[in-house]
Amino acid sequence: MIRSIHSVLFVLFAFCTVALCAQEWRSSPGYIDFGTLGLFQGEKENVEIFLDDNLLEMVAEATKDKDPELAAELRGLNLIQVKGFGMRADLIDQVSNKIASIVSTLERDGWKPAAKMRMKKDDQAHVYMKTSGGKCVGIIAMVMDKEKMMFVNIVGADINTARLGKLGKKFNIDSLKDVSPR
Amino acid sequence: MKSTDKTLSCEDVLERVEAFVDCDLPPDETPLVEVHLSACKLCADEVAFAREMQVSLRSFHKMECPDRVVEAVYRHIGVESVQAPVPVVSRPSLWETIRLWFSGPRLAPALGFAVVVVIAGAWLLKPGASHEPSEAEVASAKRQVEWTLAYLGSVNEKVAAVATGTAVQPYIVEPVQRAVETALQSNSTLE
Repeated sequence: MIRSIHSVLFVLFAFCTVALCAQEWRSSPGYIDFGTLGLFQGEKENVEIFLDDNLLEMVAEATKDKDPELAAELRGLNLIQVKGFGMRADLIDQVSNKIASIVSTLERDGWKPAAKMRMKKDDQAHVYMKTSGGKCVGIIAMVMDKEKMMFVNIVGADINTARLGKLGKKFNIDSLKDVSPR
Repeated sequence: MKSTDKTLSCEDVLERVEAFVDCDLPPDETPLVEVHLSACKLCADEVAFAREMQVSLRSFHKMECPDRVVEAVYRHIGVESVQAPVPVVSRPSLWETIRLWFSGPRLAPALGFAVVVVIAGAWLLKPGASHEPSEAEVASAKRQVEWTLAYLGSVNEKVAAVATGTAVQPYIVEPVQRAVETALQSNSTLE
């Protein structure tokens, strides 16, 4: 009986280990768990995108003929996640303070600021990058304005930020407003 | 109470108490005992006592005769021990068990098992492996990728525009322009 229990525990342990290893992005230094930030407690998100390496690979495969640049870039990514929340006037101080706290946490964890803009308390943007071995392995963008609060996290093994920026210019955000990421 | 053809005397019943309590009486005698018990308190008390004894005896912990006593009895009657004393073997620990699995002739099957577990785990638990995204899901994911990249692009543009307006223009471009104009004016005055 004891031997059977040991065997079951061993198999479960092996399965869990393999499962965690299969999710490469989870162990990447460029990944951030939004849930641990404690920013959105009780707030209902109105934008949520979560594209893991499996789905990104499928998109890359689907776009390789029409858009080889995008496909090539996506093959280097492990995860794209976005969370967005509607902003309320009574939350501005709280969220602004929380962002300041997150910024200091990110900097303590080795994230480097790529761009910062803080015009007012309710109009700010922070873009941070994480490098490992001279390669960019993570990008975080935090944007807050009067209407919304957005968090973007991109995880990859070697993110080409210049190419990513170029691709970003190619897509018109206004023409994509019909995207319903949820 | 005397026994008749259809009734039992106290003596008859007391002889049958053990069998009655154990439900071992022949079917035709049980009703006769029950009839007698309903009329004879003395016998009924005997049966109640017997039942109590039975319950008490059954509730005793099972005890085993010590091995040395058994051996002594066997020696006394000149018979070899029927069963050799069982050596005490301590149960191996978890690590000892794992070590035993991965040693000697068990090594190959254990490694094979481990490989199967790892491959099966990777196949079964890899995110999305069990769920192949549909065309619609891939198309939706593509739109989401485009939206995310476009959003990042718009953030960069906004930051760049703000940087240009608040820092580059007033602190770099305009002073340089003024310096150049001043230099050009003084140059023309000299001429």
